[in-house]
Order: sequence, then structure tokens, then C-alpha cells
Amino acid sequence: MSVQNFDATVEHFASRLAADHAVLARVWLERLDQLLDVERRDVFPTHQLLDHIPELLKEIAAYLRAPADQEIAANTAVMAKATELGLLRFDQRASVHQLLREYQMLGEILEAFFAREAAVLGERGDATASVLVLSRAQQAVRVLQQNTVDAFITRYTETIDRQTAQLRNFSRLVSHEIRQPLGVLQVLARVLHLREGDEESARLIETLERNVVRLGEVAGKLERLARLTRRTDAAAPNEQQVDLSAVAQDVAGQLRDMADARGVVLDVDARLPTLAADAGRVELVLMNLLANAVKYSDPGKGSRVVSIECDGDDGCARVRVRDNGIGIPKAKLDTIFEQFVRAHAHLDDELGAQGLGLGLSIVRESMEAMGGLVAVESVDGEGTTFTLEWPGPARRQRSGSA
Amino acid sequence: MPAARTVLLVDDYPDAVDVWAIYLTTEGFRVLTAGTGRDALAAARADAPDLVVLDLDLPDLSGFEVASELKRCAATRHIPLIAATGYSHVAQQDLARRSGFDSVIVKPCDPDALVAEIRRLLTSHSTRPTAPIEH
Repeated sequence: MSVQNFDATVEHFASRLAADHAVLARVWLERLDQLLDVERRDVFPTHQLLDHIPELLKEIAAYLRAPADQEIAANTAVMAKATELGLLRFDQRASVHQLLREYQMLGEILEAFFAREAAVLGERGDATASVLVLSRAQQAVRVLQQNTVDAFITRYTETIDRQTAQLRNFSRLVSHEIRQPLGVLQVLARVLHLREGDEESARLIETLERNVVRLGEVAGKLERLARLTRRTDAAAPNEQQVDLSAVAQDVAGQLRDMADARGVVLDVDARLPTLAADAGRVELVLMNLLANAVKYSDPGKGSRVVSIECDGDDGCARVRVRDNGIGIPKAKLDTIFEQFVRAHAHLDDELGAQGLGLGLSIVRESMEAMGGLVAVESVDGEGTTFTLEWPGPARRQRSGSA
Repeated sequence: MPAARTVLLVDDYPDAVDVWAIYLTTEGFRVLTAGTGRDALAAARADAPDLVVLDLDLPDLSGFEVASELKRCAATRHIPLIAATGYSHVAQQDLARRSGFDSVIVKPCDPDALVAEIRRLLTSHSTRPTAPIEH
């Protein structure tokens, strides 16, 4: 038989691939075996699932014969198979990396197969057709791989979203269920406190009271977090004109005792902008940032200052919360907005600061819920600056105006 | 020393009623307790307390129903009412403030804060009606 033309060469590769698809699939599976540290049946537990790779190879063979302008994506059956493969591998807890590796193997096996067949054809083959057929097969593998990975990642994202919602419900439930017994303990501690007792009882009751207070704070923070995430979901924002200076003054007032105890001066710029935002959220953000700044002031510095000031030009709703405290190490700056991450957990006793690592995650969630941003800069040992930016225009306060 | 003022505590959580009763007694109040809305109404009618602390989540009647019943009767209309609500029930707190309660406290509540609130309301409601009581 002599194959002299383009079409015949294409047909040769296509029919050989169609005939050998099961053999090639087996080769693929054997190679996979060497990669896996688990049994092959754990990866493809049934015969039906074992069909995926042979099926893909068969469809690639058919695709080699298809008109040049046809995409493999137009073949819904093979695309569905690729999707199925992604979902299956997700359920088997494979990784994207593993998936990519598997497709890479498939590409390599096809490449070797085409090289072998090209050698069989030798002089009889059309060189241009051989190259085109190989690149078409590779293109098909890429498209299928993309589809499989997309399915995998979509399922992954859905799972994460569901878990996040569960976690949110969990924290709401926990905080709610904690409240009632906690209230009882709170009063009980007080009742015991008022009773005459020996010195040790008094000390134990104080410990009880202290821990009850701490639990109350935990419940409160969990509740705020749960409520915050719930509000983020709600479409209707609770917007009003918020005078940042007034809110900041109010927050500074609430923190006065804490600041005085640490010799920290709270300096609020009276000309902060007024902007459209959720006042409750704004207060939550400023409260967390200012409290943090006070908490992590540097006892070693003669003058300890926390200031909140304008940043940028008129019309820009951006402010800075700046302190000359202990600063945040560079390595920890990336993660401080995550829940339960605390840069200075080891300093609790020294600074009399205790926390859950929820404050800054609340700040970021609040800012994002308002469509704004929070950024941080810090120099270890010198101080920290948080920049808050809200969307939309702001009115700058005119100092002295009514 | 003036006669002890009587506070009616209404809550369906027995431990809460128990410790609050002890605490308020320690603070010099005479304390009545009830665990349901119906018991609360019966106690209010029978004993004429000087003030009622009413949990809004009760098993039978809602705190709002108990309150409106107390406000409806001439015998109990004058009694100052404090609503006790959960931290997360913001809507309920708003509603309580607008529906006849003299005060709203959020649970869990600092013991001193509740005592201060009770004293404040008792002082501002110190004139008691002398009119004949009818049901």
C-alpha cells in the first residue's frame, strides 16, 4: 500500500489511533500506577470510570478526521466526559497538580504513538499532514484538560463556599448557645463575690469572673463576625452620611481609659471627610484599628501617639490610622487580615493585650462590605499605618464651619 | 430602712432566674419569679410587684403579649417593665423600645447595670396609684 497524499496520511493516524485507543489507555494507566502511591482501583474504582481515558482517546481519533475548522469543544459528548473526569477526580481528592500531570502523560503517550506511526509510514507519509495531525491531537488534549480542570475548580469553589457558610452558621450558633449559660455564670460569679469567704475562695472567684468576662468577649466577637458575614450577603446596604471625625472622636472617647493606662495620646483630625457608608461598620473598623494601635503601643518610647488623619486630596474618602507602636514584622504583614492570626500573640503578657485575632479580619470584611479597601504598612519597631479607603466622593469638613 | 421593693423576674431559664433572684435579694430587693408568661401575669396580679424584668422569649406567651396584658389592666398598668432580650435580636430590641417597655436590657447583662436600671426606674416611678384596683 502506498500513501502519497495528505488525506491518506491523516486517515492513517486517525484509524491507527482509533484501533489502538484501548492499548494506549492501558499504557497511560500503567504509567499512572508508577506515579500513584495508592492502588489504581482507588483512582478509577469501576470499569465505567476506567472508560474515561479510552473514550477521550477514541474521540481524539475521530477529531483528527474532522474538518479543519471544527473545534473539539463542539463535541459535547467528549467535553462532558472531560467534565465528569474533573468531578470524579475531585471526589477522589486528587489535586489540580495531579490532574495536570495525568493530562501531560496522555500528551506524551500520544506524541510517542504519533512518532512511531510516522516511522511506520516513513517515506510514504505526507510530512505536513503528520505535523498537523500531531498538533491537532495536542490541541485536543489541551482543550479537554482545560475542561477537566475547570470542572474540578468549579466543584472546589462550591465546596469552599458551602464550608464557609457552614462555618458562619456554626459561629452564630456557638455564640448564641454560649450566651444563656454565660449570663448565669456572670451573675453567679458576682453573687459568690459578695459572700464572705476565705482568701482562697475570693481568689478563685476572681479567676471565675475573669474567665467569664473573657468568654463573653469571645461570644461577642463571634457574634459580630457572624452578623457581619450575614450582612455582607444582604443586598441592601445600610448607607448614610457618616462624619468620620465624629465617629473617630466617639471611638477615641470609648478607648480613653485604655489609652490613658498606657500613656497613649489619641489624636483625631477634626477635618476627616464625611462619606456615604454604613455607620455601624465604620465604627467597628475604627474601633478595631484604634484599639489595636493603643494595645500595641511601644512602652519603650517616650511619646506614644495614635493618630487618625486625612490621606490625599479633597474629595477622596481616604484616611490613615497611624501609630508609633511596636510595628508588625514584615513576614507577618501578609496574613494579619486573616481570621485568628495574631502577629504578637507572644507579647500578650508583656503588653497586657489579649485577643482572638478576629479584629483585623473584621476590619477587612467590613471595608470590603462597604466596597472599600484597607491596606497596611509597618516598620518593625517603628510603627504601623493602616490606610482606609471608601468608594465614591467625600465631603471634606471645613474647619470652623457650622 | 424603707420596705424592700418587689421585683418580678420572668425568664424560662431556671438557672438564670435562680442566680438573679439571689443577686437581687442580696441587693436588697424582694424577688418574685416566674418561668412562663401566664405565671408572670398571675404573679403580677396577685403580688403587685414594683417592677417586672421580662424575658421576651417565653415558652407560652411572648414577652410582648405579657407586657400588653399588664398595660391593659388598671391594677398593673403603672408597673415599670424592663425587657430582657438576646444580644443578636436587634429587631426585637427596637420593637421593645417602641412598645411600652420602660427600658430594654441586652442579655447577658452586667449585674450592676441591671440593678442600676431597676433603681433608676423605681425612683422615677415612685408615686404609686392609690385608686381602687379593678380587673
